[in-house]
Amino acid sequence: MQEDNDVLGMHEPIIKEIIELERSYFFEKRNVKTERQRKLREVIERHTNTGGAGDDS
Amino acid sequence: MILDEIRLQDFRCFYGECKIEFSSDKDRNVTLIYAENGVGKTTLLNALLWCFYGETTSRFEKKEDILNYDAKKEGRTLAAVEVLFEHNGKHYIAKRFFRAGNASDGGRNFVVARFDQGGQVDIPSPDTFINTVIPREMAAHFLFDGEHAEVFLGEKNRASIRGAVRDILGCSLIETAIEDLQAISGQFRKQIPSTPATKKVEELNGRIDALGSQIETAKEEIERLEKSRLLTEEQIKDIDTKLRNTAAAKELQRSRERLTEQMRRVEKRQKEASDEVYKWLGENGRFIVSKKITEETFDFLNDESHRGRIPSPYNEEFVKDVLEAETCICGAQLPPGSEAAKKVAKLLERAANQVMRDRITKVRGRLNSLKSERAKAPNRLVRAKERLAEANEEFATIEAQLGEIHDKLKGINFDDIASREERREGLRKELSEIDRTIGALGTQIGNAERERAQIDRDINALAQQDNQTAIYAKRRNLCESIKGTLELQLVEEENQAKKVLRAGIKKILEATTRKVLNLRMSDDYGISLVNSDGMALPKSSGENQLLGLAFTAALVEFAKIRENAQDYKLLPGTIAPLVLDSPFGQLDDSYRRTTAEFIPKMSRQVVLLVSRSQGSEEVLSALQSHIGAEYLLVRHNRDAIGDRKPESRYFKGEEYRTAVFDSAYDGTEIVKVAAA
Repeated sequence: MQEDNDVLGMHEPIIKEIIELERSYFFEKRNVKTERQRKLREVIERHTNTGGAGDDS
Repeated sequence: MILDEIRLQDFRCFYGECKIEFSSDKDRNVTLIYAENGVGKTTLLNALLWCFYGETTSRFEKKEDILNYDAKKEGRTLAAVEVLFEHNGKHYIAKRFFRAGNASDGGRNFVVARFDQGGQVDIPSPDTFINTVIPREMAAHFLFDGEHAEVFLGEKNRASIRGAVRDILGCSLIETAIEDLQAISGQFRKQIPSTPATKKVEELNGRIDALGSQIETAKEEIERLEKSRLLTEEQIKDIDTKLRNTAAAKELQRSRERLTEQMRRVEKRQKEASDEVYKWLGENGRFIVSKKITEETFDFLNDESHRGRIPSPYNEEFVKDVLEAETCICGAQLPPGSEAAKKVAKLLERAANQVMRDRITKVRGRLNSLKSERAKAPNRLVRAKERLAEANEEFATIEAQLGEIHDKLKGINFDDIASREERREGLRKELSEIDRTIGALGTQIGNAERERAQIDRDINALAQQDNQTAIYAKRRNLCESIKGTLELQLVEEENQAKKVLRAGIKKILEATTRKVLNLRMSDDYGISLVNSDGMALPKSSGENQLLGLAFTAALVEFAKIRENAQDYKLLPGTIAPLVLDSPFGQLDDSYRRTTAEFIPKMSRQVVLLVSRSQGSEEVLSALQSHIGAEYLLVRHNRDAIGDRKPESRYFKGEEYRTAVFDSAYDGTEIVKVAAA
């Protein structure tokens, strides 16, 4: 559980960003999948660039 | 969602244009719509359903006849329903059109637009949007047809209902994020370039794709089998119902045989009692008839005895002895032929002998017997008559019961039972075969998924070995890690939601039902009532209706709690209006009052459609302080009133006609009841 919380804590900023993205598409553009996933890719790519929050290198 | 207004144009029985403005007041949250049967209550509920989803309830007759008949006759071709509503602080309008004949060419049939700075902005996917606001699968709960509440949540389409409930619970953002992360992780994997260090990746990717399609095919097959399973289960249920009916018929037949036998015994008792009456009359009639003569004879005998006349005071034997002895007991001589002897001998004419005395004793005995038999006689007759009356009454009861059984048994084919039982057995076998196949496919999927996960790890390990490809492994790891975190949260949220829902339903049922009902909710939100042994109980239609209302109320309650949730990952939860058509239909009086009391608390907004009988004094007084708007549906008839009585209702001291005759059209008008 502690481990889960650690993971959650570590990913909190990116999760927040992802959820915001999902929220912005949820109500009126729930079907606009390709664009949404492209934006999500960009989020992941940004966070995995050297020095990003998701950089586990 | 809060409903602002509904506008109808030549929709079904609503001729021309009419509208209802719903109350959006928080305290006076009930909009009450009065209508007698057949005037348009259910049509109004269906207008909402039709506008949002293009569908109507299953019992809505002639559903293709959308355009009002009179409007059609006058050459109009367009029917429309517009619903104005508020959602998440924004105002929208949903419009659905029906164009008759050639007029259906071109033009969209369904439009949703957001009001924005005085104009309207079209929503690109109106159907998806409406499904986000109130999922179609949940519509039956929020737009509730009380007269048709048999189909309760959990009986059909469980998978889609689960998704719909999740939407209402506000977990959908997490769900779509998980789906998207899964898709992107796959995209990153496919992008891993082939380098000398990762040349195996391509091969592994091929294998992973093959496993992916295997898994997809197996899942599709499972889906198909699940549908077939549902269908088979329904067929079994159908047969069970029929067999239950035939089992009931068998039971009726047994009752008929038992009653016929009982009737035969009663007939025998009837005859016995009747014979007893006749026998009594035959045997004892003389006691009644002889009453007077017996009494007179007794009186005479007693009287004469008293006087010493009967029997005679002179004994024949005694007189003869005196004559033979020629001496009287007083000592006087009685020589034969003397005057004294002649006088004594004359006494022989009236003297009593033994034979006569015996006869008198016999007469007395017989008369005594007549008297005592007569005393007993009426009791016997009364008892016999009582037995006859009892037998007659029992006969009449049995006769009525047999008549009823006869009516119930009419048209049942007993030969059919065996073939049904056989068919049921076959279906059970099919079901178990389906389950076996689903199980095997599940194992296949499990194995394939394990292999795929291993290959996935291998690919990542290979990718990490090379600087050129390591970045993809890193991105994929991030996707998977976030996905795992969110999945755990989703499970936690759902478990918590289920707990709240169970408690909510239980609380409502405790407040509204008189029975102690134990509730069970399965993982896919199937709800059943169970006894203390955990066995599912069949629900009465009233209980079904209450359970449906309680589930909806608990969902709404949960959404309300969720409204203030601080967690950014959760949606506020759907706040849906409750539109209840005849919600008291299958409830008895005591349930009606308690239900009427809790209905205003069920949702932020309630629209209640009631007939005069449903909207009883008790119901209306329970609702009174929550009513924010009232409307009356008035029936217009082209016909003259004829012999019909004028119909009207009084609201706040004012008279409102509920039926208008000699009207320009046949149809329904919506009249607003003026505030007091």
